[in-house]
Amino acid sequence: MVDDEAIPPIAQLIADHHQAVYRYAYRLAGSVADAEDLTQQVFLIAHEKREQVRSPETVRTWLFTVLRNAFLKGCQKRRPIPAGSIDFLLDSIPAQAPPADEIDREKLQQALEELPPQYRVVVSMFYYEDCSYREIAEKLSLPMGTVMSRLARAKALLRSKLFGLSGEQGGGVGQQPRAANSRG
Amino acid sequence: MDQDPTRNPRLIEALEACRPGSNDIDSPEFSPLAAELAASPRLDELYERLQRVDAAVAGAFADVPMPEGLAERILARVLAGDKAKVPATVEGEKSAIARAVEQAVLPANVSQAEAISNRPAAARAAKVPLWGWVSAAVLLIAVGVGVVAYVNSRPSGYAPHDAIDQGIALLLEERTHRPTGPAATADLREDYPLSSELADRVRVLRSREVADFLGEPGVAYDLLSRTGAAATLYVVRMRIPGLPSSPSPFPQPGTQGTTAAAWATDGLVYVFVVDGDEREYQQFFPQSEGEVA
Repeated sequence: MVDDEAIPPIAQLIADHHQAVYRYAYRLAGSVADAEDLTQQVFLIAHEKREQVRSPETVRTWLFTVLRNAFLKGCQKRRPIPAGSIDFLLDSIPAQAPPADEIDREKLQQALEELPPQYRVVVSMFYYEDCSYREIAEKLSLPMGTVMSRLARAKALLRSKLFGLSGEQGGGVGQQPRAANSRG
Repeated sequence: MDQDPTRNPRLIEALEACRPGSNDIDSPEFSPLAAELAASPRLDELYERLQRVDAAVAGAFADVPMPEGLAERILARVLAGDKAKVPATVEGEKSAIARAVEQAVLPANVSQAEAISNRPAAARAAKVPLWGWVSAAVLLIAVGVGVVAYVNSRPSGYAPHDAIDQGIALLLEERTHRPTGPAATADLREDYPLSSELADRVRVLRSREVADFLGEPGVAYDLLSRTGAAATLYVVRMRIPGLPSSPSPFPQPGTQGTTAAAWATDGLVYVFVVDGDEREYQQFFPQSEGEVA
C-alpha cells in the first residue's frame, strides 16, 4: 500500500536523488546531453508513477530501475561482445591496483561505451549500485549463469581498456605478481 | 588429474562476481570458491588482487562531475510535462540522436547553420518535375531494399562461444518447463527446419518459438534420441563466423550438467544442448561416425 504522506514531493525527490541518478545515467549513456535527457525522463516518469513507490527507503532503487529501463528502451538492437578466453579474463587484472583517483575517468567512460548496452547495465549495477550477481539476475530477469558470464567478460574488457594490460604486462595468472605477498 | 582452479571458468566467474569489500565469499553460494581459495594460494592471491582493483574501479565509477543547474532543469521539465524538454545548457553538446540525424541528413562539410541559411526549400521543391520525384522514390526504395538485404546477410558479430552460451542459458531457464509426450510432426517449422544431421535419428517432442536468441527470433525443438536421451535444438537465422558445418562428436561441457555444440548450414545456426554429459550427447552423435574437422 502506498503511503502518500511518506513519499516526498517531486521537488524534494529531485533534490535528494538527481545527482545519483545523473551519475548513473552518465555512465550508461556516455555524454552529458544524453545523461541529462535520461535523468529528466526518469523524474518525469517518477512524477507520473509515484504510486509505484512502496516506501521512501526504496525510492532510489526504484529510480535506478526506471533509469535502466529507459536507457535500454532507447538503445538500438544489442551488439555482441567479443568472446574472451579465460586467459583474457585473468590477464586483464593488474598486478597492483591503482588508487581510485588515479583511474582515468575518460578511459573508463570510453571503455563502458564499447560494451553492448546489456553488458554496460550489468557492470554498472555491480560497480555503481553495489548489486550482487543474484540481485542483478532478479532485477533484470536473467539467468544467474548469464549474469555471471556477462559480468566477468564486461569487467575484463573494462580492465583491459583501463589498464592496457596483456599477459606479459599484467601479472596474469601464469606469472608472479609485481606486488609479492601483498595480501591485506 | 586435478584441474588448475585458475583455469576453471566457473571459479573465475564466481571470483568476478564477489563485490569489493563485501562478505559475498562467506555466503553459501560461494562455498565452492571459498574452498578453492583455501586450497590454492595462487587463486587466493588473484582474489585479493581483484578485490583491490574492483574497489578502485567502483570508486572511479561514482566520480562524475555534475552539470550546473541540473535540478532546476529537471523540475522545469517535470512541471511542464513531457512536451517541453528542457535542454542542457552545456555548450557544444548535442544528444547522440540529434547528432546522428544531423549527420544523416546534411552532406559533409555543410554545417547545420549553413544548411538552414541556404534553405529556399519550398520554392525549390515546387520546381522539381514529376520524373524527379519518381526517380527519388525509386532510389529510396532501392536503398531501403539494399539496407535490408545487407542487414540480413551480414555476420552477426557473435562468436561460436556466444551461441553455445545462449543455448545453455535458455535450456537451463526452460528446464522446469520441459514438455512431455509426443507431438505431431506438424510441429516442424519449414522456415526453421530441423538439421539434416538430426532429422532421421530423433523424435521431436515439441517445437516452440524463441523470442530472443542473441537478439534474433528462432525455434526450439525438444528432442529424444532413440535411446531416450533428451536434448533441445535451437534454430536461428543468423551468421556466426567460425561455426563448423556439422556437429562435432566432441561437445563443449556446459553448466549444471549440460553439454552443447553448434554448427551452421544454409544461413541457419543450430545450437544443440543436451541435458546430460558427453555420453548422452553421443547418443545423438556417436564418435564412431567420424570426427568433424
